[in-house]
Amino acid sequence: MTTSNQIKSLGVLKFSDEGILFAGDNVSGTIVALNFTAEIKTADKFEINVYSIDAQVAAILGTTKDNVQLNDLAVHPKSGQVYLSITRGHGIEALPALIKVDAENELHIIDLSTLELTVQDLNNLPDNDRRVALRGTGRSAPTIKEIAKSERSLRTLAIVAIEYHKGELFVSGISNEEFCSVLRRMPYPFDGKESISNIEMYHIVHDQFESRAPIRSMVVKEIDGIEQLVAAYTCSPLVLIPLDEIKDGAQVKARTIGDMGNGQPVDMVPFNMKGQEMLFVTNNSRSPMVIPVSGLHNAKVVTDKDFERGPKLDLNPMMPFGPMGKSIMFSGASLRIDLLNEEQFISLNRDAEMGSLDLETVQTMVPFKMHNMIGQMDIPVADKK
Amino acid sequence: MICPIEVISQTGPSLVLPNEINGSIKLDNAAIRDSNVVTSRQELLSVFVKNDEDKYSSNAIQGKYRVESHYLIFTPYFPFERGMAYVVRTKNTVLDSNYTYQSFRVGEKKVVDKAGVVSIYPSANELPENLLRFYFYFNTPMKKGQALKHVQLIDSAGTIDNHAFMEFKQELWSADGKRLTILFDPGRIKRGVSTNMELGPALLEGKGYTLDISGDWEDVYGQKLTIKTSKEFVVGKAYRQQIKVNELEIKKPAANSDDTLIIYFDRIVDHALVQSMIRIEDENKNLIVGYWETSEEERTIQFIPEKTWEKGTYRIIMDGNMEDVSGNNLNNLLDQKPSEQNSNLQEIIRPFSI
Repeated sequence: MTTSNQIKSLGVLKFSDEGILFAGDNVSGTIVALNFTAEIKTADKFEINVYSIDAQVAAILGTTKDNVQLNDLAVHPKSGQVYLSITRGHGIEALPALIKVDAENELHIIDLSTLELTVQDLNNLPDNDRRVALRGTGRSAPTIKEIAKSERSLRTLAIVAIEYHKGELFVSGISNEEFCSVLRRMPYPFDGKESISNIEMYHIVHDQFESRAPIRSMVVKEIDGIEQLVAAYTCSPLVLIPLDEIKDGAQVKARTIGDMGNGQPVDMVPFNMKGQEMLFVTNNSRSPMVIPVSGLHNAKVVTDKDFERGPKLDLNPMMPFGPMGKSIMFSGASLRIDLLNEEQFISLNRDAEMGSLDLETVQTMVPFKMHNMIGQMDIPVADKK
Repeated sequence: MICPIEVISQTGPSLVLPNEINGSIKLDNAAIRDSNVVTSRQELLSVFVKNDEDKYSSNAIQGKYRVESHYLIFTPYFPFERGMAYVVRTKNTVLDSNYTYQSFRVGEKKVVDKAGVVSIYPSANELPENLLRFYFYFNTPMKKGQALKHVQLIDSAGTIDNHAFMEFKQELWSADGKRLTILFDPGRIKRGVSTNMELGPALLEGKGYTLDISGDWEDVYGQKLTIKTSKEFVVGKAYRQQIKVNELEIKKPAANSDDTLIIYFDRIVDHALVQSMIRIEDENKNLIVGYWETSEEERTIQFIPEKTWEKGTYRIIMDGNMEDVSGNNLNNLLDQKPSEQNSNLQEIIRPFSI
């Protein structure tokens, strides 16, 4: 048992089925487990729609929205309440905050000092002082925004995604090693031990084997009769990794089975579509993909031997490649998403026209709100004279 | 919902506003017998970030309420922002239909200090030939990983020595990013080591040097130091003897005074280690609270006590790892043959009575 003083930041969030909330603390280099198992259902079915949520979060934290950053969201498995991990302030003065949005759409700061929590320290963490490389786009010189990106510490990539499966955590991110893309595996309850495996994969678009880029989002599914991680990378391969191979010190060769065709995946949420299991994969730079899990079975595993040499970008006729399902309509951009209930997602959306940051409930079958669209049905039929 | 509270005073609410960012707001109101119901507390006292519409009905700052005698006290979960405008909304009683609003700020908006070099240690203009390190103090946290691009040692002929300092993968910064330690390459200092033989010592006795800190170096906020900072110094004899603690001259304080205690060294000591490596205890091993200051170009250190000295016996306790500026600690010299290694004393004690 430890105290909340040890939490220095709250990034990616993941609930276990029992209601333990796992949070990545990149600053401390730890995974924190917060106990919300006592939380129960307060309302049967509800929607959450909180507009300009960054401004509202800032207000209850006693500040303005330029001083808050919303990092991730997760839905409590029993109550359906939505938890948001927040950074309040900047630089060395930044503080972590956890906020709950309840069925009444009310925001509550969680008093971290009263929570029961345990902590797992991570090893081989990337140095704080190492930065993201500076590069421009194509032949253009780096822009101010690209320079700002290059000032980011690699430490911010220590914990990128967390998956919980049958009493174990899988944590993707980078380490301080040369081939730094790693999967960490640890039991929960924590016993202080973790295994670290290096992950290599063939990247179709870049036409090379890669071992530095971290897995951006992942879930465990039974594919071809064995438990495997389905994992998505930036620009944007989809790979399978059998859980059996994720052992301490292992150099794991992930099986590339497809590519969404560029873009950076954000979240991968399993959902049920008319009895068919699907993955809803959001992306910060393209529309979400809906991938049928059935298509991942018996998928052809590809390597450099399967393609002509050279890069293959989005416009290449073979993209998207493999059983990647469909790119679907989404209004605005989902920065973070989770399943709110069997039929709805809860998504942190950047509104395409207003730029506002909104927490919105959308239907899994029609995952958008109508507020930015004017079509036939929005124009009332004229009164007949 | 209106909650049962007993109102004792009907006079207007009087407020005590915070004067520090971690402060609380105290409402001196009616003594409240039963204020366990959170909603009633929020009705009586709520704090908001000031907004353009000046409407304060939702999104109050969240925090903890408590009651102490006739005060209702609110402490936000997160500190106030310096200089930000806040509005506190109060009511006399929950039954009252009118709110009273009052705006306040806590401190001044924090502006980033200008980047700059505050000081360089050792501060003396004559330094020993086997000097081990420099300390640079900056006004703001600096960008890391570029120190050796911006720091140069130049001899009197104007030649830059690109191999004077140790190159570390991780530079030696203090936690606040405002103090950098730069080490001379020990290979250049230790006699008979290959770098010393190939390149010679970085500093030569009798010669003059300039240490330059470039004005292009940026702090973490992107501000340049702007002006070049130079430290000129001449090189004197190397320190090749250990500090003899029991031979040091000491000026004792008078009993019942708040005099400083002064220790005179025969050389320049490492000023950064002084605070952590020396302490004073009384005869019952109680730590004497106070702080150390260096003076006379770090040849003298003085202890400024927090309380008056009482008559009695004291002990000055120096950690064996305390060093002079050439990295010689109280047990061993930096440049010493392995066969001449002394025993490693944990602590060296110098008693005195007043």
